Amino acid sequence: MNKYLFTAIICLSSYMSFGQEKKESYYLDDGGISNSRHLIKSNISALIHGQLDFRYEFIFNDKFSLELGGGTKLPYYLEYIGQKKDFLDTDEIAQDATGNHFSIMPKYYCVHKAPENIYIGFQYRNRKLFQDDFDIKTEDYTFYVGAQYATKYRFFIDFSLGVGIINYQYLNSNNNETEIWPIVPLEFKIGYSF
Amino acid sequence: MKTLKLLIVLTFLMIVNGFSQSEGLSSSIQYGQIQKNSKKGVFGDVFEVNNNLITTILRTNNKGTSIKIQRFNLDMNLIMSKNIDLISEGKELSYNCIFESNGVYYILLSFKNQKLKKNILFIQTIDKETLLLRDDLKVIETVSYPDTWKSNSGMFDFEFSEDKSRILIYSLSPKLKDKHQNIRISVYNSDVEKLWSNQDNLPVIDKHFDVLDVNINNAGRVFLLAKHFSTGKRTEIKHGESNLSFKLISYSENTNDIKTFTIEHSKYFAEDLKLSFTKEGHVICAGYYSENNESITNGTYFLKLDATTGQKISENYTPFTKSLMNNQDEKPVLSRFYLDHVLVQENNETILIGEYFMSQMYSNGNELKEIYKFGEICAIKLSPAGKIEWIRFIKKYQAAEKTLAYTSYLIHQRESNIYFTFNNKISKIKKKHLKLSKVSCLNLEGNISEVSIDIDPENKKMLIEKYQIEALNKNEILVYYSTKKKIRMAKISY
Repeated sequence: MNKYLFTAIICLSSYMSFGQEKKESYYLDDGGISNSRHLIKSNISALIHGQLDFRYEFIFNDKFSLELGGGTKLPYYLEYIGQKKDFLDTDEIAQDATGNHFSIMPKYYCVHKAPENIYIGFQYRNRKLFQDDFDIKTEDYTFYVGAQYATKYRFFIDFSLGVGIINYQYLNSNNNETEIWPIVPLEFKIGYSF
Repeated sequence: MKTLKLLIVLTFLMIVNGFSQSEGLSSSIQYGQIQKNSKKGVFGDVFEVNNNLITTILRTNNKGTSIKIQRFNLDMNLIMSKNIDLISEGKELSYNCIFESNGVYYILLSFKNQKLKKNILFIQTIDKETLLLRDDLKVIETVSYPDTWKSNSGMFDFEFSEDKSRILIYSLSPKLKDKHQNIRISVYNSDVEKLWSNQDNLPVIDKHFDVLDVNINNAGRVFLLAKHFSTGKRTEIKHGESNLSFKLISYSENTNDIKTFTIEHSKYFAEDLKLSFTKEGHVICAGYYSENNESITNGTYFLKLDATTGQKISENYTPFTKSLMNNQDEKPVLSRFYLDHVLVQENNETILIGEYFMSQMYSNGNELKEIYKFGEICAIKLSPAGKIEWIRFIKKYQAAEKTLAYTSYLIHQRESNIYFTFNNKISKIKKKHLKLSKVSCLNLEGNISEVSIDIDPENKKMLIEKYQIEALNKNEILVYYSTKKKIRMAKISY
């Protein structure tokens, strides 16, 4: 009888201590969302410009992160604000040109609450466009000011406005002529942290 | 002849000296050690001052997930310092506030759980000897934010009753357009034991309300003051008509015992109103009123309510008069004064303290900038019935490009004297060397005396961004201030 009583007390006390612990632990368990250091993002505004652009952002600490991007060209093309349609006034980029790109952007979160709040970043992007007559390589260097916020659960939104230059040149050609244009890209991305 | 000249010089010096030490007020200042304020914009709080020690807290990162607790002796020398990372079960918690009650240090911490969509408030104690966190983290409040982003996840706040016997912790759900807000109230005693809480059964806060102030009296009754815009639009006064009234709601342990008092005006529009309590626990809601323009104040508004029954004891609108304002205008007004404090005295007289403030855009040739001007302090004494007895102005002028973070003067009442400490005159826009340079003393008879504070030569180039005042004892106050790079204490003795 005493054995049963002892077992019951042990069970009850461990249940009680579990219950006690559970309340704080339950509220602190966010599935690791607050400790997430990785974000994958889709650049919605890039779709308008005919690019399928995905990003990966790694959060180093409260201040710094690094955003890497890559993607392909879609079968249409729309220039950025400030960007010229014709390369060297003669060669127009074909709508159905294919291509790929990659980008790298170190980011600094101004109020030290990465990955949230206002940030500044400097992006280098390299694109290659392949078409029947000629291939083009573009490089752009853009300074961004943006803001990133957590919305539902693990989802984020990221708005940014950039100012920069884009440099065009022929790819695999003896023609070394280049053309530089200013660009003012406006970007909107949605992200997921993990 | 030489003796005569010497006498004249000596007499002149004595007059100048006597003039600067006016009307019996004198002061001395002692500066503490300069500490580095390595994190820009982070400022601390003095949360305990006793006969031997001063204890302060600093946030050491912008997220507020790391703090430093420091202890000084009364000569402002650092005795002990502890860095604490606010981490529990691997999660970073954010610092909300710290307080001392019955000899125990309590810290309130919050955590936004995106999975549960809840903003959670925790309480934890700090060992007074070691200044380290004890292992007693407890959940005390939660706010749900299922429909909003993390950045709009509701708010928590806490208030002490005047005698420190009751602690109010309340929360408001996120403010969303066309949605009512939920309020949750918990009242604790000074040992932070819960006396009562109404967390899920209180009437909602109407969507047309803007909550201004929530406070608790010594009996533990909670009062909420809110602006109410009857049409929903946030226009206050337009073409001499207003859609604005004020609601004063009181809560107690009994959920059926909720009383609402409406401050509506047939002729005048109350503007800046603040809550305070008499010694008996009655509610004082006082401030300015206007006849038609929100930046022009025509007089004072005073309301005294029975805290238990919610019945009006007295209500009074008192217009400013020529004799009160001591000027020649037929209908004198205060322009651009904003109410900062409602100080209820033991004899139930009330002092309203306001300050002139305006912001102005100007161009320096290259860009458009904004300048903030802080002018005179206006003190108005109201009788127990709420009628104006006198109005006094304390002269000052301050202009700065960035707003002075908390307030442009420090206020401290000791017995029947109210002390104002401020930077006497700041007019340099580019290099605003703010110095705690003047103390004005206003007694309850309306007499003003002033004294300048000697500035430490080493301190002259310190640009004070934020400051806080604490009473050390009967004769001394402590000023804790920060610049962009430094934090320092100063002790002023009157």
